[in-house]
This record gives sequence, C-alpha cells and structure tokens, in this order.
Amino acid sequence: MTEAIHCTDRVALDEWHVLAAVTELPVGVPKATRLLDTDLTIERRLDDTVAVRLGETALPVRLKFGYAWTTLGSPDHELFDIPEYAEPDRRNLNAASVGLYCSAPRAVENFLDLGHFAFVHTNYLGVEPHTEIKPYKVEITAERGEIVATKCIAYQPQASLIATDGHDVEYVYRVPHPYCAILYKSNDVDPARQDVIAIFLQPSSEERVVAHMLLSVLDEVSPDAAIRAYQQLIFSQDKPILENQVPKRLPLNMRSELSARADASSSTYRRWLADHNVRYGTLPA
Amino acid sequence: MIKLYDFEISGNCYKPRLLMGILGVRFERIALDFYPGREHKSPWFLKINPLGQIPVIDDDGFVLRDAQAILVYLAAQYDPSGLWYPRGDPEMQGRIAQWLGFADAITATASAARLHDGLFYDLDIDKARSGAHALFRVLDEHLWFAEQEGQDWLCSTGHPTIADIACFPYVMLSEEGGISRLPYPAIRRWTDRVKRIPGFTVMPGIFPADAVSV
Amino acid sequence: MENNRGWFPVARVEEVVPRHVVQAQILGQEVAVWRDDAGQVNAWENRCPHRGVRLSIGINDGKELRCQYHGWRYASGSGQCTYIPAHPGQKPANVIKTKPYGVTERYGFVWVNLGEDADVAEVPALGLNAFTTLRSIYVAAPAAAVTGRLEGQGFAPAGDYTLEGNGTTLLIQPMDGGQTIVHGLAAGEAEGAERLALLRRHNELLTEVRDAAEREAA
Repeated sequence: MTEAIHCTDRVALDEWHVLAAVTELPVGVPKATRLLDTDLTIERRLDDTVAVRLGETALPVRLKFGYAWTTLGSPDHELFDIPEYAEPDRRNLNAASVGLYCSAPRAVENFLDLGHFAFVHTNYLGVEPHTEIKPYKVEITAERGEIVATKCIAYQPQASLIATDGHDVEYVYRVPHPYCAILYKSNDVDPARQDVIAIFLQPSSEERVVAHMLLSVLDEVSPDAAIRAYQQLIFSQDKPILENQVPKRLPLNMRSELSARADASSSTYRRWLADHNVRYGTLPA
Repeated sequence: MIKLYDFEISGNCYKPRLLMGILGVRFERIALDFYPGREHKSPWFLKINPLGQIPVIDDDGFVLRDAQAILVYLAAQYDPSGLWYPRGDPEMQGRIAQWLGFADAITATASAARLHDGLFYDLDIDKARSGAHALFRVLDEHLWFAEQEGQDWLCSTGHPTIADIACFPYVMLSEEGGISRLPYPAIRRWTDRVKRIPGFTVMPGIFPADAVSV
Repeated sequence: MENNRGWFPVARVEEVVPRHVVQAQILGQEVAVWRDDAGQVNAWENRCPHRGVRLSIGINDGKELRCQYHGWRYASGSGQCTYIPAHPGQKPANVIKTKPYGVTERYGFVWVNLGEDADVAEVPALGLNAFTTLRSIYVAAPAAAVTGRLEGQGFAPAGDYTLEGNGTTLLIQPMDGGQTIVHGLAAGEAEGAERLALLRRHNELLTEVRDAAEREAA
C-alpha cells in the first residue's frame, strides 16, 4: 500500500463506513471521496458493482440498503441488518447525501433527540406548547449490544409527508453502529407497521461528515421526489444546529454537558461510545 | 394564482416566497427535484427557462426567470404601498438595482460555497469564500454607516425594499459554506431586522428572531 | 504602561441593541453578549451548557436568552436556567447555568473579562471625558501585525492593547492568533456632519491599515 491511512483509531478503522448511494454515482466515472482523513476513489461500474480504491489498492466493498460501504481495516463483523428494507411494498430511497461541518457522533445524537422538535422543526415534528417529553425506555440489547430506545412519544403537527393532522407519534430508535442511527415511527398508512428512517454518517474527518439518509417508508401515493423533499427539509433545519455545536467532537465526560431526563438516549449513547473505545469524533473522558 | 417553480432549500427560490408571504400574495409551489434529480436541467424545464435555473414564476401566462427580476415584478405589481420598489424616484431605483446586482454577486460566491460544501458541486471553493468575505465587508460597512444616519435598510430610511429581500437569504445561510458572520456585526443586526419584518417566514436553515408567542 | 488586566472592549455600547445577541471572541474564546430590556448587559460563554449550541444563534426575548436547540431559557444577570421545555412542570437544577464573564460598560464600549473574579475597577483608565466612538475594524491578521502597522501610521503604544495618536485612542481586541478587532475613540464629542466626516476618515485610515496587515499576513 503506497497511500497512507491517516486515522489511528482502531475502532473506527475496523468498521464498515458508508460512502455513497449507489444510484447517485455516475457510471464509469471515478469520484474522489474522503473517509477517516483518507482520500479514496469510488467508481460505479456498468453492472452496478462498485469499486473503492485507496491509491492503487482495492478495498473491501459491501452494497447494502442501496449504499456502497467500505472499510480501512479488518472488521470482525458484517454490517447490521434492517429487515424492513426487504419488504416488497417499501419505498426505499436515499433522501440525500449532504456534507456538513460536524462530527459523526453529534449528528447521531441529534437524530436520537426528541426535545428539539418544537424549536428546530416547528410545525412539522413539534410545536409549542406540546414540548413535554415523557419518560421513555433505553436499553442495550443482549444479542447485538445495540442501543434501543422505545416508547418515545412526541406530538407532531405534520409527522410525515402524507400526515393530514397533528397527533402523537411513537418512535423507536436504534443505534447499531457508532456513526449510524435508525428510527422507526408509526406511519399514516398501516398502524401495525412502521416507517424506517436512518442516518448513516460518513466520517470524512473528525469534524466533517457526509450524512446519507435512508428512507424505507410505506407511502402508496407520493412521488419519490416528494418523499425525499420532506426529509431534505427536515434535515436542512438541523444543519445550522449541528454546525453551531461547540466543541464539534462529542464530549464523553458526563460532566462537560448537562443532561435532562429527556436526554436518556444521548447519555446512553455517550456511555456506549466510551465503553466501545470510540475515539474518532469524540473527546474521551 | 402565481405558479412558482421552486425548491425548498434554494435561497433564490426563498426570495420570492419571502416577498409574497410579506405582501400576502397567494402562490402555488411547483417543486422541482433539484437534488438529486437535476430536474431544473431537464428538457421540459429548459423550455420554461433555457438557463435551467430556478426560481421561475408564471403569473397567469406571464413567465419570468431570475430571482431579482421576479422581486421587481412582484413589488411593482402587488405592493399597493409602493414602498418595496418605489417608482418615480430615479436615485432610489438606481440604488435598488445596484444592490440587486450585489445580491447576484452574493449568489455567485456565498451560495456557490454552500453548494460546494453541502452538495459537492465542483468549483473553486477558496475563490467563492474569499469573494463572499469581500462582499460582506462592503455590506457590513454600508450597513454600519447607514445605521449612523438612522437608516435600518439597504436603500432607504423607514421601510425595507426588495434589495433587502434579495441580499438576505445567502447572507443568512453563509455558514453552510464555511463563511462565518462573526466579523460582520452590522450585518448580524440587519438580519435580525429583516427577520422582524411583518409577514416574514423562514426557510430550512433559518430561524425566527423571536419566540413564537404561545 | 497600563495593564488591561484581561479587560477587552468587544462592541460599542449602541451596537448591543435590544433583542439581539452579539457574537464576539477574545483570545480564542467566543462570547455571547446581549442586553435585556432593562438595559443590563450580559457576556456569557457562547455555548449552551446542555448540548453546546452557540447562544449567539439563540433568542434574546428581553428577559432571558433562549437556546435555539431545545428552547432552554437562561435568566439575564445570573445565567440561571429557568425553564426546560421538555420538562415544563419542573424547576431546572441550580447547577444548570451559563458561564458568565465579567462585563461592564465604559467609554462607550462594552468590555468583557474572561477571568474569574474580574474587577471592573481594573478596566484601563483612558483619561477621556468627552469622546466619540469610532467604527470597529476587523482584521484577519494577528494583533502584533496590526499594532506594527498602526505604529507606522503615527500611533504609539500607550498600554497593553492600547495605542494613541492623531487625537485618537485605539483599543486592540485580540480575537485569536490570526484575527484582531481595532476599536477607536476620538477625543471630543463630535456631532452631526462633523461626526460623520470623522467616522469616515477613521474608517478609511483603518481600512488601509487592515489591507496592509492582511497582505503581510497572507
């Protein structure tokens, strides 16, 4: 290998990281991209396979959920699953792949957060005075050691593109990867099933990411562009918040930033990162 | 009803949305799949605007492109007060045109930087950012001296004009392109004043200046 | 030579306007400066103690500063958190407060001191009774480069971060290693057209100094 890998965090190196939504890659044109301070090229071929290179060296590639993933090290596990993605009536889309000036853990935390809906997503995901967040449950699952938060309830004026009125919405959150988070929310088509929205952060550097957002939703009427546009709107509202957090790296010292009970997911996530020795994008305690 | 060919997170499309909201003009938004679909470059839209750019308005068959031109038309057509684009005052019209041109330069710099950093447009980012800072210096100085003469707006004393609407969005979104407004205190005060114009509405990435009274 | 004991001007008093938050920076530390409706000025670490969002993008409602992220509210003066919207019925714990810096108003400027137990008596005495505050000039260059250029324009050091010359007192606010703000006061209280002419002349002179210092720093 003639090209250098600049990251030294073994946990980050030995993990799978997202690089691109396959359908957004031009065919036959190598594109430059950055992962863990390291310059790579990614190329989609005519047969829809994807090649990722570090200099001349081919890196391992996984195609999952419509994205190309790679690793700079040797993961001892495969990528997590999202079984809903394979359901035949799902609309599976990449909402957007957006660059922003924040660390991956800050973006994950924002994705897990309920208390900002009325202030950042006013009249969409929340509205004053319905700001109360009732206690919810957070645990680490026994089988895979993932964070799962359940019974997260928020009153939402417009919970999805096709919502017609305001109502309580129940969320489940799942963190299966240091820089990925998934939410499951009650949908407006079938109360027995859930819409799935995921954020996969590509850590270009410790303080710069590309946020790739997967939508796996039940919606029989809306065009793809409209479904994407709604998520692009929501994420664009979060952008100035994420880009104005100081410090950019997530402090793992539980006393640096003060939490309220509504921050149970975030507190668990910070402890989880510390337990897994995730140093890239964090300020260890 | 006016049709607006639109994209939610485009600052240029926000300009007519903002002015129409303030003037109380109803409009229908036709959302283009700007990203990732590049619908603004599609054959059907190039027939409407051969430059392949948004916003475009269609007011009952009158089609107009260019955000600044649209602001001129909307103010001339729909502002009974005549304050947003005063006619019969050549100096004022000249001044407004000057700052509309300035707004275009802000688009070429600050908006370009935002597209580069957010959506990976391939362009000279250093030139875009330094260009934006050069403009912001001019803007900050102009606004500072305007304040010294009791003037709250770019072109006038008592009332904002379309020049303020034109310059506001990409100034307000500048941080998304790595352009901080910390060095520009007069600009920061002016953006608060724009946000307090009655009928002001936000776009994603911009927050209101005041808490909503509950 | 007067030692400023950590006190730096950050804005002209008239520029800390109501219902606004000034974003300032001293020696690498960002400061949120705001005035409540009763006129009291606050200078706080520019970071909400909850999740670190800059208070300068928050809302000054005249009594409190509300963080833009979760709407947490902080009282003028004490910086105490008074309300957490996610838990509307509960009084926030006393420990939840913003970090206030020393702040005072003197010679037409808001001065801030990052140190603990800053003593307002230690704001430099400039020996000015009547004065006109001038436009503050931001320079993308280190304070030493700016001071060097100013000395070449007839200003002489008159204390830490202070220069005098040409009937003008200049106050240096070091933002960080590469950015500086030069505040100024002219002796005598100018008014009307004379004042505007003075402001413009000073602005022109300092702009030349800025351009030269930035060319040098590039």
